[in-house]
Amino acid sequence: MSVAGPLKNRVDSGTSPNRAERGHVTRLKPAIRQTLIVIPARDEAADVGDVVRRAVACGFPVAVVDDHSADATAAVAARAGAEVLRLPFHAGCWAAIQTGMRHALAKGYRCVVTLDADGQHNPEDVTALVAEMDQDNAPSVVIASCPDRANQRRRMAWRVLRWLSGLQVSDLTSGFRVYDRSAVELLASSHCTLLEYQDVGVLLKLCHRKLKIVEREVSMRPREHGHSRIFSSWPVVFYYLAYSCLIGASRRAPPLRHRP
Amino acid sequence: MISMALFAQILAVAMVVMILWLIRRDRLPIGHSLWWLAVSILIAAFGIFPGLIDNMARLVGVSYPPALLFTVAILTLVVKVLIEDLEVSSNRRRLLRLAQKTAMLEAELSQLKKKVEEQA
Repeated sequence: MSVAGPLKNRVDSGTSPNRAERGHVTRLKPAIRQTLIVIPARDEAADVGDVVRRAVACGFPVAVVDDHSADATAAVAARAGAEVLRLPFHAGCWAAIQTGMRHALAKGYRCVVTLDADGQHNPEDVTALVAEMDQDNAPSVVIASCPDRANQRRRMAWRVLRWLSGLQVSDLTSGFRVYDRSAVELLASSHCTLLEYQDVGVLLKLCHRKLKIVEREVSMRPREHGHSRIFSSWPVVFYYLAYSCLIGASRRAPPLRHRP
Repeated sequence: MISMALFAQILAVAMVVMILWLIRRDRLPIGHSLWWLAVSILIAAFGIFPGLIDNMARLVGVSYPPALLFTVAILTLVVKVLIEDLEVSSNRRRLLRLAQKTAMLEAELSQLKKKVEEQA
């Protein structure tokens, strides 16, 4: 795997059309005041309330997208202070996140932060991550990564996917990310609706658009209830791996890579 | 025993009748029925004129004409299925967009309701 150039090169290559424009917006209002936290949730009534409460306590508006849960996820989230968007049928995690992004666009937010509903991510970290969006040469996407959480097998799968896709992101599956407006506009479009997972396919879309992606390490907590959806059963794992390999290999990242 | 030509004709007529019935019942859109009517005409043509497929096989160098018939039939079906798959995925895209929109509108609506109730 080749190593991408130093930071300076990377900044030069990130020629997003609204980079200059963004600097202008920044002076008007900091990103932190225009950020929506989007939490996709399916059958997470046990944890989602706590996550929402903590996010709201940090001063952010929160939208929980309920992926047609069978339990009281929507009610719990609403009681905790989130705006709840309910999908009329089970549409998948990515479709739920995209719903939140479309909602954020419609409401005019500048940044979207995605959090997992299971309490793995600390909403207290959001403030620091979003603050980065106001700096000069701000990235379009900040991935909050925690490479240490992966076990041997998962790490192996990531290595294969990185090699296939050409992506240079250490934590491919992290659901804790900050997207700026240009990234949200891209990902909310109907071109991205048929993606199924938010990792390889989404990251490749961003890379092809030459949006700058950086990673920041945060600490994550192990799940208290339930278990990972992707790594739940062998057929599901197989489908996920086949899907990711295919999408990675068929849409390989362009040579211009953004190394975090 | 009936002749092959008659068998093919019966098959083709049965197919045409079924398709017309489906159109009449509003079960099959006209666009799709055109395809199936063309298929039944082909079945009739190959049944009535068996020489047709023999000549075509000689033309493309296939020594066993029925093999050509089956190959073409299978290929046609594969292409048809592929086209259907593309259509299914584009419908899925639309369905998901619509579902997302309903979720957004529902949220918007309940917020408006709350606002109205607060004012009242």
